[in-house]
Amino acid sequence: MSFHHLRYLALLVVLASLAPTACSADSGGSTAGKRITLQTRMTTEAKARSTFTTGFGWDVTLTKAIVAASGLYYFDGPPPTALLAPHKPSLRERIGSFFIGTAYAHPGHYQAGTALGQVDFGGSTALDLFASKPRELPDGEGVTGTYRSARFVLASKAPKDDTVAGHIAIAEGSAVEHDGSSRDPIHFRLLADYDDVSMNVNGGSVDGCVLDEASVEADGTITVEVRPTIWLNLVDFSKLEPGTEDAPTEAHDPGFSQGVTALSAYHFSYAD
Amino acid sequence: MLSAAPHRTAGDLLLTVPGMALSQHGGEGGAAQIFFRGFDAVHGQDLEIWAAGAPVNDVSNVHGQGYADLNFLPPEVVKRIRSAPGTYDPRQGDFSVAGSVWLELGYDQPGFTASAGAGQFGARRYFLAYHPEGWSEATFAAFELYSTDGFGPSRALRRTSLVSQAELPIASASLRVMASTYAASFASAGVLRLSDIESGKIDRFGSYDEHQGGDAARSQLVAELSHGDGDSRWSLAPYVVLRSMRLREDFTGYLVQPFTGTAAEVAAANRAAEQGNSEQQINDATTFGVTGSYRRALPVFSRADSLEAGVFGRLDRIGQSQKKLSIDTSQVTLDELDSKIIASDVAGYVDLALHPIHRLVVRGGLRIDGLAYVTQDNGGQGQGQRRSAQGAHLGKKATADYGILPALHAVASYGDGFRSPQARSLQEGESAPFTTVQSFELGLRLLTERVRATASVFRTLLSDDLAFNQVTARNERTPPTRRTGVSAEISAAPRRWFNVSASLTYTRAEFTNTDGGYTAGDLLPYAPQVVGRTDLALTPTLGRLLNRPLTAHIGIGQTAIARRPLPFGEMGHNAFLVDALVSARLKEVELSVSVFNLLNAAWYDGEYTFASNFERGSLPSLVPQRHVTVGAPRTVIGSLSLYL
Repeated sequence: MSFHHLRYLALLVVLASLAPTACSADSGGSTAGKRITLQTRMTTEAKARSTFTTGFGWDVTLTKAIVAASGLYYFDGPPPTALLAPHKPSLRERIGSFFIGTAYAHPGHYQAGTALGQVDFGGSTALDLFASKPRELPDGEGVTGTYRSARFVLASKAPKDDTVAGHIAIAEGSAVEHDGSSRDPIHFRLLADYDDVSMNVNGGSVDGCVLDEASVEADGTITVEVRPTIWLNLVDFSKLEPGTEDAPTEAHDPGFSQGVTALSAYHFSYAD
Repeated sequence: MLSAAPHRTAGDLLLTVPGMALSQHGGEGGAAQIFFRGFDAVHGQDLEIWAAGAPVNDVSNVHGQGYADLNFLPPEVVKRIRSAPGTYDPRQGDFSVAGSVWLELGYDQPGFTASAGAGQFGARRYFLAYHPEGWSEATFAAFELYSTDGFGPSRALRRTSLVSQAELPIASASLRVMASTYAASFASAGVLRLSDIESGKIDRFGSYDEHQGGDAARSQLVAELSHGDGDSRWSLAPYVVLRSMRLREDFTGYLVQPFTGTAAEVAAANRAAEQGNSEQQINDATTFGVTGSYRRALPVFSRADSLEAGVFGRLDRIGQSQKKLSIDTSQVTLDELDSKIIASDVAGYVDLALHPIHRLVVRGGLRIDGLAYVTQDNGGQGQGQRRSAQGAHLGKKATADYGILPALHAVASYGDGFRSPQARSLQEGESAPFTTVQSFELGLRLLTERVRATASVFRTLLSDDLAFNQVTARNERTPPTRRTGVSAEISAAPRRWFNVSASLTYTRAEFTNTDGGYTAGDLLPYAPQVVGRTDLALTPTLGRLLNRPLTAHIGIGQTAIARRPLPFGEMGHNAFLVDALVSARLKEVELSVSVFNLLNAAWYDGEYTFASNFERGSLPSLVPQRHVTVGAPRTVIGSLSLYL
């Protein structure tokens, strides 16, 4: 082999070295799924803005509701409410059960499954549920997939701006018994601290919230609707002093803490 | 070209095989992750590896199927690497999904060799070998001790190995006996989140968990008796291999991962995860086996026609466990697996070579493998269970080689292969499911006195596959896959003192069915699509000094990796690495300098996508993120060698 050939050989070596870089240009195809950006918005259920009736039979009118949260997560596991949905028997099962009844086992425990999306508020953030317009929250990140359930993470400490006066949830307003038996309205200011809610949920995480099932293939907006009516559903106002409009009765009510940590108090949906 | 560029281990030598790329994500002492022709072979699940006549792949290793640790061999004693891409040869058995490699040992420096080296990051290496004059290069003994503090925290390594082999005639036969023993302990820095590196939150050579690492030991004995004359050849080679391995790795920190089980089991798993997901894996195995073959002339169309029949058998007794440890206290928090396994694989094959017409050689054969497993669970979810499973695989192989010109051949090949299952995944009485493989290849081969070149197109179909799953952070079964690619390589020796080789391989790996979150047509993640390698060696004689010849060695090895598909439509970073070796030898004395990563490229050795949480108590990021293992920076090691 001559030096003439050596030059070709050297050229070949250089080409072999550089070819992978040249080949790094997109040659088509990709792996499954893609990353997406999820805008995040918080709204308040409409009926919380007018008088509503609780499970304990009180007509409540809210004037203020604030919750401190630190983040949200979205999962592909179905929420527990889906697991509780009644089984729809087939025709064959219905005929069979005419002779022998069918027993259904415990529907199982909620399994969050795979996390598909999340948003970190960057610290404890106060969400004023009576703000005049929906609250825009930081953008979240996610991946494509079928979104089915969500986690609402209550803040482990109050926000620095002290909007909630050192607490992580506040509800203010008045309540009268729905049947009209109470003399005067109860003016209340219900409070929940992290210690109160952590008795109900580990790490302040309200797990298994419903996210309306959505096949998410592109960027979009996740809306979390907070439902203060659920917060107050189990509060027994008869145990509270009446208070006044100017000096409402302050209380750390266990029913309120349970309501703040109820998974049905937070409902999620996706729109592209 | 094995000695052209510097190599730290025998495993590194696999870089010279066209289409092969390596990652050392588990630390310098762990088995390398192997990528070959579009396969992420992990630690060996898709590449059958033999060394000195004994298999290197571990059956059902707890860390990964086919785990193959080549660190027991000093690179100097690997004389030849024979590679066979695809599954076209009846001698290829379990794990030869992407192909097979055979490492042959030898050392040709007559007399004694004593070498001492020192380099950056506290590297120290001592190498001692002898090869009796007048004996074949297959007769030698070598000792190596290597230690390094590593290029960052939790990267120290210490290993010692002894390899000896003798080849001697016994009457008209030949006996080769090989014995080796090896031990290593090493630390591992583990993975880092790419976003943490890019934001400066952690140094690129840092570690989230400095308790990672492991140890390994291996002893091997092979005796091969063979005989050959003009018309026939036979061989019989029993072997025994003892191996132990302990790994401690932490991929996910304090992440609470999805866990399937009873409510009590889920609660226990979640409690353990709060202490961290440091996983300790132990695998102790003893392998007994034998290979044998007999080939004789069988003139059908030509006197060159031949028939070979061969047998293969191995029995592995394996004890393995996996436990979750607290990151802080190292106490066991969850007993995940504790199993005893007996695995056997016996096979027979026939291989026929016929020359039906001038210039045409047709080779083909059949191979039948029978595999059996007995697994007893002494811990974990299956505690108390004992179960057995068996299965068999018939593989058909054929190659046609047509000589277009005396130096130019066209070759077409077809082969069936398989990958055995993880024994612990099998149920009682299950007919051991195999991943079946079909390989096709068309190519041209040029072979002259000074140039050897091949170009080929290939396709490989798998009945199902394994891919790193971003949810479970381990390899999980996937739908069927297809790999289609082209490969070209050339080796030339234009001068006695000048050798060069170059190769380039492109492979597209994709799913062919839709299932489990994968869609037909999606790319398979992790294995790079483009792998290039060049090796160049200049070994001129510079003259004479002190009445002795003065020779030099200048060697360069370049590796290029590009287009590494990652989940969610992303691509990994490309890498271009250059290693160089310069030495001068005055007969008995040699001074050399090895430089790894000469250009000091800031590269990522491994890239993975999964969820993790390394900050305890923080609001964790649960969406899968890019994680990397950081490749070594420029490292210089100098050596002084004496040849006596």
